[in-house]
Amino acid sequence: MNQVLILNAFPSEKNPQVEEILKAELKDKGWQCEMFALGDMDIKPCRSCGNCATKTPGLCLQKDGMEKILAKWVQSQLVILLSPISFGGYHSDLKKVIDRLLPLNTPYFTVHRGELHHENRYNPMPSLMTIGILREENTQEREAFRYLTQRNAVNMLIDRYAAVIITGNDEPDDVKNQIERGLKEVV
Amino acid sequence: MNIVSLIGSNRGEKSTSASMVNYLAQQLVPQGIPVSNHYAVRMYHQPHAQAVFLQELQESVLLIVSSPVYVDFLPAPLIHVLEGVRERMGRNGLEGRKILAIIHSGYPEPQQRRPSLEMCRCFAREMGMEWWGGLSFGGTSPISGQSLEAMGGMTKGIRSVLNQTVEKIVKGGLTGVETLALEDRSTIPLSPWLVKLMMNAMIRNNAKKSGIKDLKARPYGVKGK
Ligand SMILES: Cc1cc2nc3c(=O)[nH]c(=O)nc-3n(C[C@H](O)[C@H](O)[C@H](O)COP(=O)(O)O)c2cc1C
Repeated sequence: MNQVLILNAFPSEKNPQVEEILKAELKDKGWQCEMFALGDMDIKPCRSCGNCATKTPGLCLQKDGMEKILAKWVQSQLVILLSPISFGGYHSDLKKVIDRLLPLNTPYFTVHRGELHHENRYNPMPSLMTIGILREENTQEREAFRYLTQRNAVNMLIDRYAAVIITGNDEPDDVKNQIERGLKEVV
Repeated sequence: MNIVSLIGSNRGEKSTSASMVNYLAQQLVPQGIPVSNHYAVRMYHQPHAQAVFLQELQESVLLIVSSPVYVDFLPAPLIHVLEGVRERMGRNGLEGRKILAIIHSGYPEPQQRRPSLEMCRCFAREMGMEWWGGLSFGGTSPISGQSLEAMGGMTKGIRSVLNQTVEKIVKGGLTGVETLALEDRSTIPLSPWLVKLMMNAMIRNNAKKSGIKDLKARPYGVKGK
């Protein structure tokens, strides 16, 4: 069965619908999903020490909630990042996790789409879908969020990705349609 | 004019982001323009430090955000601080103040720094600040918190852009711009293919010397792949 990892930085008390709709869509497709509510987890910021690249290859020296997330990440076929949009990007609770993904790279360099990047330690990487929640419509933040998703996909050498952007006043049907459309792009 | 800097690196005072601000401050302070440094990672761990930062920010004319790129974007503690500023001061709460972003990263290509510059500009818009533009520098990993002068020719391009910036700040030549990045320089003038070959050979050699056997180890297994 296909496995989905959801990293959720959007507290469900703010809008339980998004989470419910997403889970129902995945269940419909027969996907098995595991969700981490990041706000409740102990995850420390990256120390930028470089040990996970060259001293303890693939392992971070900090022991906290990231171990579970990394183990799940490498077993998943799809990763969904759910976050309020902060200044066109991820909320800091989610970004803390993203900063700690370096153990998924080897220290070796590769050239991907003409750019320098690090090789992936685990192949293939899961597909990537981001769901950003805007408090209100904001074209610049919308564009910035889309671009960030695309950049993450390039950086992580991921071929299939989608960015879904929901605004605070979207109707449940709109939310459902957008999530469905996003899932079609990555599955 | 007083300047507040916000240093985004998780390495705090030992970072290249701090080296860049220190380089600017060395020239600005003797000309009577004080620069007060604040570290996002410290504020993340000590909320008291954030209160001091907010106070100084309100009294300042210019905010300089100096930050590395971590996985395409600003480091989490820096985002946390920016979120805190928005929460406490509200939309347009920094009207009349100016912002300059110095974004730098390991990889040389300019597009690697664009999302971080965009984020600083979105922050500026939301807080009602005047965007003074971004400086974008690639290939900065080897600097590793050393002074820019100590790196010699490698940082020549970066220093030249920072020198011009100091001049503009002193003479009042920096004004609001539409452009995302005023300048983009990289310390790596080689093709990515050549960099890849050279870096990978160096990484292999270093691993051999330090007795690390498998740099491609997979401690989380490959189950399900
Ligand atoms: C967690 C982490 C993620 C990074 N991700 C990127 C990246 O996506 N693109 C890039 O060009 N450099 C990346 N880098 C490299 C840093 O931007 C670079 O080494 C920079 O010089 C660090 O500056 P500092 O000393 O101010 O922290 C990353 C470094 C770390 C520690």
